[in-house]
Amino acid sequence: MLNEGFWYDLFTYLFLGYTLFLMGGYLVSALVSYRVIRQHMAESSFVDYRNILTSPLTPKISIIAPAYNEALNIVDNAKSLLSLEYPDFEVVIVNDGSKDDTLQRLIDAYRLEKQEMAVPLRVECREILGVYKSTERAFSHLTVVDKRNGGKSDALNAGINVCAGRLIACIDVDCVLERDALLRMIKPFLEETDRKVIATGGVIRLANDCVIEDGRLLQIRVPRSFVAAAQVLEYMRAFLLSRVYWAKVNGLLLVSGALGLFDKETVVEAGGYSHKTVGEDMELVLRMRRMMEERRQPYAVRYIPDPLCWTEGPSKWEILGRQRNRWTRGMMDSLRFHRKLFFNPNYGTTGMVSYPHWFFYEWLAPIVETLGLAYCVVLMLTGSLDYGLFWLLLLFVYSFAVFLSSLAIWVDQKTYLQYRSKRDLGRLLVVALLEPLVFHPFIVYSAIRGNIDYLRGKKGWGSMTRQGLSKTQPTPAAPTPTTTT
Amino acid sequence: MQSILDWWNWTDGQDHLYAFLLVMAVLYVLGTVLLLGYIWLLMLRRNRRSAWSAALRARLEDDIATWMAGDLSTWELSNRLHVEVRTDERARPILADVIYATSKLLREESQSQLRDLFRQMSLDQIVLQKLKSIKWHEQAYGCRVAGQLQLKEFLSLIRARTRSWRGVLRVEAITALVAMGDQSGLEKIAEDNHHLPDWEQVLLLERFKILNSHELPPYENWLNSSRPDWVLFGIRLCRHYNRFDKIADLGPLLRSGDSRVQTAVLGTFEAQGDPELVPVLLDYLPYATGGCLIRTLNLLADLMLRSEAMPVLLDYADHADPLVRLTALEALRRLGLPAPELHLLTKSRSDLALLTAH
Amino acid sequence: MNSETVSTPPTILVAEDEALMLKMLTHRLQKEGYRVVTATDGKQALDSLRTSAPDLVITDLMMPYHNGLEIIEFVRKNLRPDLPVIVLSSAGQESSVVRAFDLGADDFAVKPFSPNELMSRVRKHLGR
Repeated sequence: MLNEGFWYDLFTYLFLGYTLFLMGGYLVSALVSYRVIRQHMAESSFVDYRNILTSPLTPKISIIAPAYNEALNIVDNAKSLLSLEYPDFEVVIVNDGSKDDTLQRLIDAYRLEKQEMAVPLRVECREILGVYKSTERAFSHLTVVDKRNGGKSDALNAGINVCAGRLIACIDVDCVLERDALLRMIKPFLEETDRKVIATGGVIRLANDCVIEDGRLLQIRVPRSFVAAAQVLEYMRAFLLSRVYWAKVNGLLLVSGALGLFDKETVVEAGGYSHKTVGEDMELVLRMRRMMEERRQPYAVRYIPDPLCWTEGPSKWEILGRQRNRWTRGMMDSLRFHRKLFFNPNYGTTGMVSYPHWFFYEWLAPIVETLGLAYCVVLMLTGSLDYGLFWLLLLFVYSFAVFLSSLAIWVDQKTYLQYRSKRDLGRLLVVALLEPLVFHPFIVYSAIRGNIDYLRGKKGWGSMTRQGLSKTQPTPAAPTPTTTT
Repeated sequence: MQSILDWWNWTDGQDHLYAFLLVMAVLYVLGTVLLLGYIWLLMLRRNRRSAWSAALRARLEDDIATWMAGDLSTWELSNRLHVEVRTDERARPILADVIYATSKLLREESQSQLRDLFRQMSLDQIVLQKLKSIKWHEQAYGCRVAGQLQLKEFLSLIRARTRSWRGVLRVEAITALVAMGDQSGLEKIAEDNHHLPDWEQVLLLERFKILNSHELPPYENWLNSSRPDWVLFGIRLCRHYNRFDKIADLGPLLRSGDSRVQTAVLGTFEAQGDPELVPVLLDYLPYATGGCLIRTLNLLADLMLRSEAMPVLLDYADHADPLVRLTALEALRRLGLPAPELHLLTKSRSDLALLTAH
Repeated sequence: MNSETVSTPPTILVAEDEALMLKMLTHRLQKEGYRVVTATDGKQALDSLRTSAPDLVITDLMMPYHNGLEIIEFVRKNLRPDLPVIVLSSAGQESSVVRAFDLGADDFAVKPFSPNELMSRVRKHLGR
């Protein structure tokens, strides 16, 4: 009988042990994250960020925004970036060999003039064709770099070569940033004295179905479409219950490509962004951490829990699937390039905790789930499935998923209170109940597809078309933890 | 309890497993229901908002505003406030906050009557409670109120708070000392405290900006501190307040060994732009590295005579660090070195892209 | 105060989102004998400008919905171009004050403020 005996017991208890460990980890993470967020909010209440707007002591920030075929919105996006509130910053838009008139629109709108200058090529990038600055004083902090097409990493690297700031903010050009995002993000860099802060991440929230005007968010709503709403819930779980905890224990491996602030010198010393992967954001942080560990220099990767960045998430299953496929492939690249860190005590928390976590949970969890399900199917087909156990396990896992989602909603209510109306909360609850049954399996499926595609050697992004900020097309956002089990 | 143990002993592993899973599932479901109930309660409470305290606050604000306008005599106000406080002790902290908020809005001439009122209503006891609380944010609030209302009797408590490990509390305490004009305490601060991170310096500078010059702390003395963070802050304040008379003191700090201090001194020199600084810079040049070296080269290019600057820069056009080379080249270009000669210097370098305007 | 005893007291619109500040200004202005119309945000301010006909406007620079600069623009474009406008600003908002003057503000007061000083500025601009 297949449902008895040593192997059966082993699989069952392994699966159970794995699941319990994951659940315990999540609960600890949620508790710690909640406390840290409350502390952070209490501290922030004593800081009036508006007062720092004119401080001469803040470091110079260079915002680097790669742009490819963004002609439709580039002028608006640039305007939104230029009007951020920070004492000393520059906006570097990198035109990555666009086939449309992205560059010309910028030149016309901001009266740009090609500059004569020498650019140190400190990190690898394809040929830079020209650097443009505005002739108008009002846009003196805008720089546009024109270069041959080389991909997002390449464009970011070109921006790094040209920019003059001490810190670099790598963002996606069509994200909407809060006005004081930069002011809030520099805090970790300036307040830690015994460790060098090399990167700070921020919270990304989904702006689907929210009212955006003039680059500002006027009204926040839970999206109507199930796909988008499920992602909102997923992001809430990740950013409120998980990332904060990882930053606190200094094990954060992932700083979103949509919003991250980095110490420029450390990035340059680590070699800049890698051209060899689609998950360049995670790979860079991992490489920077590895470098600092190898140098035995105390460092930290921190995190600001305030919601600072809004982006459009995929609203169609197909596009979501491609996005998750890409995230999986990017993650596998990062894990593979740095496999030396796996349980390697020479690499501190990064090697002993963060990397194994990503390996066993972020990467392996979809595989374990699928194998578990396959095993159950086999048992069922041979008539030896213990239906009682099967349904109990499902109930066990489902109730945990709903509990975790409720926890995320609760933390939001007790802290940032993004969703106030009964309708929004009702929608979130419905999504929380349906998500483990409908959304999660799709995510697992996309991750498995990602694994298969990776093993078959597929590279690249697939097609992502732009339709404007208020239309729902995906932006290349960064991998977030994909599993709740 | 006994029956559970009996059941446990009589059933086998599989039933144990079932029971375990069932119990966990039930716990999770219960947890979910509790959380959702809590959320519902939060919503209700938010909608009703603390009606009592909002109404009380509105009343107190009205009374104080009328009194400040002169339509209510102090005696009448006093009576009304005593009534409020007697009816409910919780009114006291709210009253303290209202008076504090009013004080923040007004300038010096209106302050004394507010301070008298504050003491008359024994609200300084509230501040004492806050300063002695175990919660850091209550202590921070206490510092703010004490500083604003000049409650000098709490000076020693606040001085102790400047040694807290928590940055926010330190900032509030230092601000309060400055507001109360505790010059001697502020002189000692630079020796007692080990750290003053940049973030706190940013916050403090902003608070100092709104003060009059005689109210500022003795920052020139901090230049002599043994703690580099405080030296750094002193330099930055000198720069901000254009204390160019202190330039002579800053020169020796260039050899202090702390790169942040060196950077801050160079920043001050950049702001001042006095050719008399050239000898100091030339002395420092051989010891400068990294960002400081780059800034020193730029400063020399700006301050020295062209004929004297060129040989110095040409030395560095061959430096190992590409950024230093770049700086020297850009400076030479600014000074008018012709393009062909510049290209000659960069010809063998592959790590620079020389972009032209054509 | 003035010799024309039958004329109604001047109306002053005060736009300020901080409740305490608003009350302080209102009571003091009323004590001086003016009629006061209040607004707690930009939207209310614009509505009040349309409905009541103030003789002077005191507005904070930072308010929800529409800030002080937009109020000034509205007054200069749609109401009397010579309607006196006094802006209230916090320390560190010099650039906004400059913008306010560019748009046509007549005077400004910085917080922390002096009630006596503000009253004398009001009197001056009302021509009494």
